[in-house]
Amino acid sequence: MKYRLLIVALTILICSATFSQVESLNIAPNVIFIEAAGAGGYGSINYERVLYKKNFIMSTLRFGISTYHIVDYTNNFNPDIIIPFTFNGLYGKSHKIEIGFGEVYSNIVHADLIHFKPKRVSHFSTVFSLGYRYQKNKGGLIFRCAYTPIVEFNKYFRHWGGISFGYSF
Amino acid sequence: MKKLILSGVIILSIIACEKDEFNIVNLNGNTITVLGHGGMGISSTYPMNSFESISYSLNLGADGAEIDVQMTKDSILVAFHDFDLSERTNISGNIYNKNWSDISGATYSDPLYTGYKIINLDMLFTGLENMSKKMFAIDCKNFNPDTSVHYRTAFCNSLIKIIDKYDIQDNVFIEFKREDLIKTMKALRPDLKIFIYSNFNDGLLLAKKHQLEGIVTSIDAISKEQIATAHDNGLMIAVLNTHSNKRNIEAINKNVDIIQTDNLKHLLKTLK
Repeated sequence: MKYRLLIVALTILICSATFSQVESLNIAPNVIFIEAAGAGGYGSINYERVLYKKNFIMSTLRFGISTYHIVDYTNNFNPDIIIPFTFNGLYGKSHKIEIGFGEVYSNIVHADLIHFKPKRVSHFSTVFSLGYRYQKNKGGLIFRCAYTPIVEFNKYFRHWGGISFGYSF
Repeated sequence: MKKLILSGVIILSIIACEKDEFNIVNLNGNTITVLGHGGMGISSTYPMNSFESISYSLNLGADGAEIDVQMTKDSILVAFHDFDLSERTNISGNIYNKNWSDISGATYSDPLYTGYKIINLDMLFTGLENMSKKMFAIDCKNFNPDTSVHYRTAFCNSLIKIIDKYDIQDNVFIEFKREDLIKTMKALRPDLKIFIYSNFNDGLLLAKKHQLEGIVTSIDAISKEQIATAHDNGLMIAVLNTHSNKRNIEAINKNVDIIQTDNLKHLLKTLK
């Protein structure tokens, strides 16, 4: 767990350092999108930042947030938290091929089966993506659909997919 | 024009706020017992029969819950719906071919990232609060092809042991599909309430033959007239497959006694 958190923190640090390079490029570096299914489970709201662009190649970093339940099984406010965090590479002009990987942090409210009280259980899972994206460099609407297999809890392989709509600016 | 639209909106709002009035006539004191099907139902983000699903349904105000039950090789009753564990969990095989120790670590596959655990009936009842005020329908999933007296007695005794341990004989009814199990349970404990899970015609014959409490069937497989016939014969009707608002209302209008709903929030809002 600590190891994974360290990787996430280092990635954020490196990405932050590259933001200034992107500002000088003539592209819309930010994307906000919603994803049905995909890395967030059943769906997620996401922010993505372009880290690097040269010719038709682009790399991005994406953070999302998702949940299944806002109230827990005792009917009290106690939301599940799911945070997908992925690094993507894109190739193409407006029609792009996307390939990526990342981690998903999940913090889910379970029943403790000894005391039968709500308790939070955290896991990391690994996600991959391979798909198509429509995104103009100068900004505007984006669409993506991808095969997003998941290694749930880094133990169980699951076929999965997602469709996203959003806006780049 | 604006006034017309405004009037229309107000009238629609009033209609929408009006609570439906139902003239329920049944054998359940002219009320309907609301049970969550496996807890929160088949399409919930909690897996059916998980502790979280059943507990949440009770915390929302359901009168009780329907629980699917299967027995392991070592006679532990497990709350699980399907024939093979691989259909909903991260392990495979049939419950009747496994000991509880083989199953106890299994987690449900869906929803992703949740990892809710499979649970046995004893653990479930240990954790639930206000048990004596709730109703439980135990749907016996006897997938085990073994029809021997030994198996039937072991299954029924495991059920009786749990019911007696939690002193819930008055608020449990048992649903059997098999006549041999009904006979075995009737011989062991004639005081327990038993429903036959069947189509209406077969169910009516068996229920009358064995003096059962009622029939469990799908809402789309029974008419209002058949329910009236069952009531005339002193038999209650419990229905399932009410997974939409429309089907909940249909079940109410047919005067059923018990609804095992997959759309709990709507049914509670409609009836309570």
